[in-house]
Amino acid sequence: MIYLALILLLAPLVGTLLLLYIQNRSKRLSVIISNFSILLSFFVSIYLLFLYFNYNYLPETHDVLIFADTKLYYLAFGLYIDSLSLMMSTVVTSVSFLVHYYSISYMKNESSFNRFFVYTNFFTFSMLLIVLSNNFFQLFIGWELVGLSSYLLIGFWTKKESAIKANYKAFLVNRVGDIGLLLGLCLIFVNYSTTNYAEVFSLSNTINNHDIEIFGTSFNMLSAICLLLFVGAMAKSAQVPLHFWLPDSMEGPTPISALIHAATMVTAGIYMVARLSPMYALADDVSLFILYIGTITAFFLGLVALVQNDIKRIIAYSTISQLGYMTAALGASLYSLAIFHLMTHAFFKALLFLCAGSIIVKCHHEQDIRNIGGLRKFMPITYMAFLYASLSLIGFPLTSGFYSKEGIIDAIGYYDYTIPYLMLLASIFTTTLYTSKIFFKVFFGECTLHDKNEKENDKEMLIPLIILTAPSVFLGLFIFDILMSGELFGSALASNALVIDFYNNYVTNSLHFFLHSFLTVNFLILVLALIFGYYYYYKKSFNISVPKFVSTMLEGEYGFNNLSSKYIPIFQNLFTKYLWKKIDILTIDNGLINNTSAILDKISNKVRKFHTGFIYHYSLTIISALILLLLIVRMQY
Amino acid sequence: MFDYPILSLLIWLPIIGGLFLVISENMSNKLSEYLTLVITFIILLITINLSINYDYTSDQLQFVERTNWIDGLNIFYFLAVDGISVSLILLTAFINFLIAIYAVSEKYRNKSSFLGYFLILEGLLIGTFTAFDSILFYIFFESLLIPLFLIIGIWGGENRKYATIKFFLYTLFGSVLMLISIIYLSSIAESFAIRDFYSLNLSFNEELFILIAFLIGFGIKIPMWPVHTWLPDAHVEAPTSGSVILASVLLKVGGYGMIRFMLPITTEAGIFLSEYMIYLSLIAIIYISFVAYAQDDMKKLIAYSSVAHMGFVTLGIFLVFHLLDSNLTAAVIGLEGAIIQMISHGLISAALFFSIGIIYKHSKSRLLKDNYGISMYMPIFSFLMLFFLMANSGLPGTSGFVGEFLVITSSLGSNIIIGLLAATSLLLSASYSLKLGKNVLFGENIKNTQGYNECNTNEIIVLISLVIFILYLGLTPDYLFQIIDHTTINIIDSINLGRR
Amino acid sequence: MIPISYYLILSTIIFAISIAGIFINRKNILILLMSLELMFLSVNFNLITLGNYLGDLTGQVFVFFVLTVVAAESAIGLALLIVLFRNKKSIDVDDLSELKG
Repeated sequence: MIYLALILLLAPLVGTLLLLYIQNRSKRLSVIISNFSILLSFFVSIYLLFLYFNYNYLPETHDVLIFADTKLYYLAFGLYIDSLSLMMSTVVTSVSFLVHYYSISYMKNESSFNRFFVYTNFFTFSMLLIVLSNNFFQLFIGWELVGLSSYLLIGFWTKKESAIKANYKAFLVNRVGDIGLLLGLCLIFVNYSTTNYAEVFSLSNTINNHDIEIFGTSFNMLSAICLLLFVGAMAKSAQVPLHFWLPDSMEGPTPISALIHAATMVTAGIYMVARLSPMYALADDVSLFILYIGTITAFFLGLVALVQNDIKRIIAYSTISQLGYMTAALGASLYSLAIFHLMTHAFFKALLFLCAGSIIVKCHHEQDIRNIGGLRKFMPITYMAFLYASLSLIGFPLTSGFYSKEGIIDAIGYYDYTIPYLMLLASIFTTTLYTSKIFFKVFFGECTLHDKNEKENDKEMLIPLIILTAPSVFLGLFIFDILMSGELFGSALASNALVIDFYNNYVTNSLHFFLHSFLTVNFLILVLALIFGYYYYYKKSFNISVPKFVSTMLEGEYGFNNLSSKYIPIFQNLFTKYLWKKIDILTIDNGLINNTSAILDKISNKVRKFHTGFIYHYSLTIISALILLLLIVRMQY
Repeated sequence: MFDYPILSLLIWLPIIGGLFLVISENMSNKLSEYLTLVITFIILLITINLSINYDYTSDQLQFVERTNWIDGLNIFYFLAVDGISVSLILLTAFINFLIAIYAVSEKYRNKSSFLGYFLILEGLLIGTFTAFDSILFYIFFESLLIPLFLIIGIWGGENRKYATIKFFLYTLFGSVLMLISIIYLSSIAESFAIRDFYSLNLSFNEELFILIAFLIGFGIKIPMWPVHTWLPDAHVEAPTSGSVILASVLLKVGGYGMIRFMLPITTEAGIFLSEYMIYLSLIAIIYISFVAYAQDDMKKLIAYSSVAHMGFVTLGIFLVFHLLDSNLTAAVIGLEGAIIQMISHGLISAALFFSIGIIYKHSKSRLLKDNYGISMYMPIFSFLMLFFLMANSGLPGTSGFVGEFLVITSSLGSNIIIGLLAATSLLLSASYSLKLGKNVLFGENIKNTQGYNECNTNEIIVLISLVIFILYLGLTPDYLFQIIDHTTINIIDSINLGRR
Repeated sequence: MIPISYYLILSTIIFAISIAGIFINRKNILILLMSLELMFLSVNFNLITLGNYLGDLTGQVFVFFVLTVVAAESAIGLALLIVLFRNKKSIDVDDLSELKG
């Protein structure tokens, strides 16, 4: 199994290296190598999943490559194979493969076609590095490498000014999170001399009894570690307040937005917390914090999506909001539900983005939905795919999104987290509203295409859409029961009892959950929002004037827009220039160093006056000194 | 196993070869290039041989050469290596070989003496890293200044006079203090061997003064904040190869000296002052990173970033003082982190200065605003340079991460706030490194399309070999860990022994 | 018999004159050289006197050495003077202040 897992991990890396080697020699070769390597990974991953469940394997952990093996400590790269990592790697490789396939057509006119696949292959490798990791150290490495590939891909169009700004920002914001993650990792490493998951988990009760001193106050060690690690997750999974890089990251090519900034990379944070659930389950205070962060993100950033007009930005905010749901589920210790939503979200959000990509291509890179309309007739397949993805996103009964999202909301309600429950309910309304906004504006209304004979896009772009529709709609129904009853993840996730209890007492089975949902307030809100959206965006039968300050606040994205594009750069420039000019040059260099030499110069200038060059001055000095000396000697005796 | 004095050969072969090159001014460029290449290559081979034959599991000094030198004063010609020396010698030989390769495609007036000075420098550097007699160490340490002074002074930029004098006086000032403390120590120990200093019973005040003298002496060399201001000036004026050797190896002499002298000799005073020295290192990491961000000259930016990265080296060393009583494992991690950070910074800064040299060759300007959109014309070079910048910002998988990771780990062993402050480097180093990348590599450049063309073979060889080693040390640094592990633990042990 | 102090006083006076000649004289290097001669003479005078007084011949023998050296010195001095005059067209002391800080 370990060798298969190695193939799974390394195939994309080998692909990257081969692509690097062939450079721009042939587009065909690039396509074959990149797609084949991911496909190989995908098949291996499916096969491993099959093996794992059919033969009841136990979780395996192996160290593969020794990083450092000294007298006192040990670091290594390794693989951890269990249901969670295998499920996740299947999701990653499948979405990645479909996006690769889609990109063949989407990127076909790019001059640096090969470079794109180098980056995406490398991304897939780094993501798998996180997913399959068996220790915190490798987790961090993969974490940073996905950050790197995201940086490279957002700035894929190196000539585009806005893209370069966006990727700079994305990398730095992610680095803020990485600081947290690194500190958490180092805390574990320095105190327990190991970074291996299994070893740390077995110590987690001990860690819970330890304290750490910060500014003289002592805190619980486990909470401190979990909190620091979660900061990393906040940045990567775009949670408030470290979310503001994600909307800007839409500057990259659309397939990338689908792969990295919707389906896989941004869910790394969710995956990490779930992976470390044995620790998080013990840290109650941190969990509560996570719950609230998730809820706030889900609700408030969903609102921002309402006022956006760029199709990709809307979906990006929707991604943030959905990630908020997952985070909230993590906070409520419903780890398997979070992973469930992660999986369904990966598919339907990737589908949404790929549809958006098709629309953008069709509309000649017009992204403003106010200028797009009436595409239903021209793009029937895309239309259908988008419809299903949207239904899944808003959680319409029976779709995948329904099972995962309603599951989270109801479970949070079931466990009496009142405020989060209400906020999450409210965000059903916003989710439905902005989804209907895109849907009605883009596919209905007046047609904006110039050429009335436009056809659907190439089949390379359509096939992934069709394939992705299947899991977007049916995955939920398919795995809901085995997941909720705890069979799927088994011991991989802690606190399974919570989910199982919820399942047994509230859900009983997927069909019952489906039927029951029509009677819940969730469905009522959804229908209301749909009706509202239909009349507001499609029929345009009424107009709502929002108070000015609310709309400015939403359009300014709660000030984060100004913060990142105005205040921080100004601060950076002024503050750093001040430090350099005033302190480094003026105080230290001129003040301390050059001033010392200047003072010495002055003194020596004074002293040199004594040397007149006239011999009689010298001799006078000599004689008078001699006389003085003799007098002194005389006085002594 | 070795019946020839391998260390002496390593020191004197390049020095004699260098002197020969310096003297024979009329030698043709081709011949001098070949000669330099051959000598540096031989040195590299011998060093590799040395590192293979070095017994990592032993705590003893190895390849010892010890003969009387000045009888009356008990001064010995005493050469030997331990793990730290081996790793630094490997770095020196490797970087000098790269410089020799790089120089082949470059034009300098009076090339043979230019190359000669580099050879002399190489010999002296190896001498500094292998001398175990304090006077011998001091002589090598001091003479390092001369070839570099000449390199910057003769082949430097416009403002080279100011820079060289500043550089020379600054470092000389530090080493005078160092000399005084060495003489004082030897007068008590009645020996000049460094290892004899370790077991001295010094009073606290003596230790304090000696510590401060060493701190200034080595701190200037590293350089630490606030005595760092000579470095940016020297870098800006130095020719590319000069910057490379200065940043990648010469700065390490300071760190090496701290580990060799300060840690074992002045332990008590070090524990007393460790908090303040840690603050100095943190200022170097954070404040200098801010200053680096403000730079508009590429070389200055990298020079400041060197100071910030060397802050990790000093932090790792001073943390040893801080952790001696509480957490020995963390102390070992910190010291190993400092050593690895030295090696890794040697590779990365060399790579960045080479890259800037290549850009400068094309655009004749080092200013950020004059260089942009290079990736349009030099895709391979840009890719490599982006890699180096990422390595500079401590990306995992590159060597830049390993040292920082270990030092931060060690700092968490003492105090989480120190760790947090040190870890901000992750953000700050990324911000200035990528600012450089953003401005220089990316963007659209339609103005001077003629200026840039892809690097020549020699430059590619140099850059690629640096990439390979940066990746190697970033992914499987186990070999390096094996080299230094015993020595580090041995040093920490001997410190603890000396205290009792 | 003339007391020894007379001799010594005389030699001191000669010495004082010569010193005065060195730093009061601001015109002529020739006078400077002559003052130097005078200074040597006073020293010689002292040597002879004290040698005689102490009955030690070494002092008187030493005078010969001093005289030889003085002769050589004045020869060199005069030679320098000539060279100087050739270059500067002057032997004025005030013109010779190039060795200043």
